[in-house]
Amino acid sequence: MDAIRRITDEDAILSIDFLAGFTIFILALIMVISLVPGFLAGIQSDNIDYDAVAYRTSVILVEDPGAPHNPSWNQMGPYDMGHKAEIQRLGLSVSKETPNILSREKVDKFFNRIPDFTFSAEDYRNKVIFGDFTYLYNISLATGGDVYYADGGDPVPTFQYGYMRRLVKVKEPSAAAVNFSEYVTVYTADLPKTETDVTADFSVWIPYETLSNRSVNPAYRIEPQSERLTINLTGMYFPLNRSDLVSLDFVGLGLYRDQIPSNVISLVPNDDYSLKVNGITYPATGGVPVPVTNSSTIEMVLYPPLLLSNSLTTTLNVNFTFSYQFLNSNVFHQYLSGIHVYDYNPDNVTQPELADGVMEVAIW
Amino acid sequence: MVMNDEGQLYTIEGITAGVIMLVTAFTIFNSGLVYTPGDAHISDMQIQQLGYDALQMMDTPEDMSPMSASPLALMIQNNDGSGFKTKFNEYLTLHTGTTELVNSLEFNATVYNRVTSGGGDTVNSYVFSHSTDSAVSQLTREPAISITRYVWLSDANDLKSHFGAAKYDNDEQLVLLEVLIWRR
Repeated sequence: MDAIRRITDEDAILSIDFLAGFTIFILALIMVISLVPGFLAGIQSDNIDYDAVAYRTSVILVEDPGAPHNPSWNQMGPYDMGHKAEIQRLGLSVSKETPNILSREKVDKFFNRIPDFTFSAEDYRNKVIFGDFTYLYNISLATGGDVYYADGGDPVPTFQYGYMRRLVKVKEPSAAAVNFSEYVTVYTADLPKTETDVTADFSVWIPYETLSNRSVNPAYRIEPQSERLTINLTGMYFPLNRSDLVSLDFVGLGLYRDQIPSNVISLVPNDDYSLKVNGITYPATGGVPVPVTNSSTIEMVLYPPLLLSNSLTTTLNVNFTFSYQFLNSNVFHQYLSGIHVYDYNPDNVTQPELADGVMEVAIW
Repeated sequence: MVMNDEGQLYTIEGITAGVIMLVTAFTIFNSGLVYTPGDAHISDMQIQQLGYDALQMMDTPEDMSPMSASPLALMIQNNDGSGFKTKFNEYLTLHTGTTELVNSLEFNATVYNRVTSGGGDTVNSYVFSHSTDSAVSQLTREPAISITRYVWLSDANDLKSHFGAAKYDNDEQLVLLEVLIWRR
């Protein structure tokens, strides 16, 4: 007698060994099929990645104003490296609405042209190029005859690099060039015959409300918050009667707000402004009076963000103080006087100019 | 001795044979050569972006007065094809010097405008400008990339007198400028 009972009818029976074999086979098949997507691994190519990263970097630099934008990243503590960590993205555009128009202030900051404020290779990788991989880069901008290179870049290899070339316009800041020979009768005042000396001001008036005109496209707008204002005085002698004048000295510079002379604003040299007389740096107050000649030039630059420019209704007066000595010749003596308005009139101010430029980004 | 084969698990040899077959099939498929087309689309994108930037730079007005015409609009209004050719070439060859520039881009610019005079509604086109013909590109050249830009003409009077009022029927017109760029 068999120990195992013989089964006579074998229909509808799955034997254990069949199940065991079948299970192992199916498991192995599933494992193999799940490895099929690995076929496509061979298509991944670093070269496509480089071009994509170069394109993305060029878009960030050329079309993006950067982050933070308001206040702009280049305004964060103008010469304060401590604020660098708050910058998330280095974009050079003037605003979101004006792609391909770059701000001169941002360009100068980005390419380390401002002393005491520099970006390192690590900053560029974290704030412009992004990505997990440590890419080598070469970022350059050519404009107005100059070529700027981003620090920490390497020479571009002969092949196998990602590349993008973008055309841009760099918005150069405005400047008020007051050549007194063009304003002979306009910017003078008369001194009574009996007086022989006077210390008087010539003023440049900066009305923030007029300048922050939102109907002006950001590409052409004068922005005291983010651009420098320059005032150039030349030809100081022209409107004056030279035979009558013993001496003319430039004494200094003062700022006051809202056209009230007592609202004096204190100036910090190099942070707020820079003043050069005949090309030599001169302090706003406390300097030795400088004689003014026919060819003298006074150049004053106010750095952004201009003092009190965040208050739209404020106006600023920049006073250039001159001291005059006249001959006692019993005639009316002329001295420089008047207010020059810094506004959108091209006769008063050289408007912001858009200069052609080209930017090349290479990544490998 | 086994008299029957019931209740036997198939031998390890069978399992091993099965696994070997599967691993072999996997290895064969994994090492297959995959044909990928070349990255032509990337150089196409670079040319397209360059052409778009060039048109955008030319279409930027010089100053802020609301109705000031851009240099590009002035060129089209005055039908200044040679001026466009010079300026566009200049923009295409602007570079910083970090990489070697191969000056082999050629282009062809066409203006399209809509004509509704006489009750009809047609699109008129004419060749506006093209780069210098070169012997090489008569024989062979790479496929062209198309860049378009809508240009607003504030005063199309000169074009009306040049082409006839049937072709330019408005003083202020929006026209489509299409530039085809290819590498020689």
